[in-house]
Amino acid sequence: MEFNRTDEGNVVVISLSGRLDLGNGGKLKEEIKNILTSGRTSFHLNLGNVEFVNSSGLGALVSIMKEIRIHRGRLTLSDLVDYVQEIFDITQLSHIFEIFNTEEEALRSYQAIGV
Amino acid sequence: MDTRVFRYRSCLESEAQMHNDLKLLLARRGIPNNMQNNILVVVSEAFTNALIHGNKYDSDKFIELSIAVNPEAVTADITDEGTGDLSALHLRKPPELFEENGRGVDLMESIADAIEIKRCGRTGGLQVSMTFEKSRTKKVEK
Repeated sequence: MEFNRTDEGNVVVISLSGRLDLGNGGKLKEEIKNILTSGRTSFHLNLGNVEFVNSSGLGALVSIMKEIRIHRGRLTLSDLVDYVQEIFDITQLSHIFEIFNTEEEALRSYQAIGV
Repeated sequence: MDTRVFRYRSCLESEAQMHNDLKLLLARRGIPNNMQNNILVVVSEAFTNALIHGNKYDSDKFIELSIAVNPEAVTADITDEGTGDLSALHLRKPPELFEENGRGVDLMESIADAIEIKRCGRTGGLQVSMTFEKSRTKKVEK
């Protein structure tokens, strides 16, 4: 899995590609934790190029969301391909994540609250 | 019946290798993409459980993937060499939404057409048998 980081104002945007599973989920958690220690707390994950996700990958995302909330931050997701969206729906995790159709929509939601 | 068997050491790196082997096999057998995705995620869940709960990352132990493609269905077996507790599987409760773990078996049961988990007489570990029928894509229960 590859992580491509860009900063859009105060929002850290990470574009993921490849498989989000047990091994890669752990790497993503470490990446986010390192960024949190630098004081950044607004994160957007673009999952448009994630070709595979399983429950271990989902568990990593839940862990990341909880960690960000401890830091009083916010996590948004976008661009889920149909298959990945289906996995979120089956597990009902689509109810607890803020999921936008596109990265642009997600970033506008940050601007709307002055982030 | 066209059956292939793969064996993997119980280490994290084997997860990616298994995924790549299975994806290539399914593509070569002409399995449609949506069915490939279903098989990949369910087998991956069984593999991860075998790695963590069955063989407990013991690299001296192996995880076996047996996959058979026939005209009606694809069947896959994941077998470990561990001491996983079969009764604990039956007593499990659905995870709370904010739990990080515990979704694997429910996800498998939602996607596969049939799942059977039993003790394997040959290895002593658990064997998860999964069936995916070609005639239909299981309706996702939301």
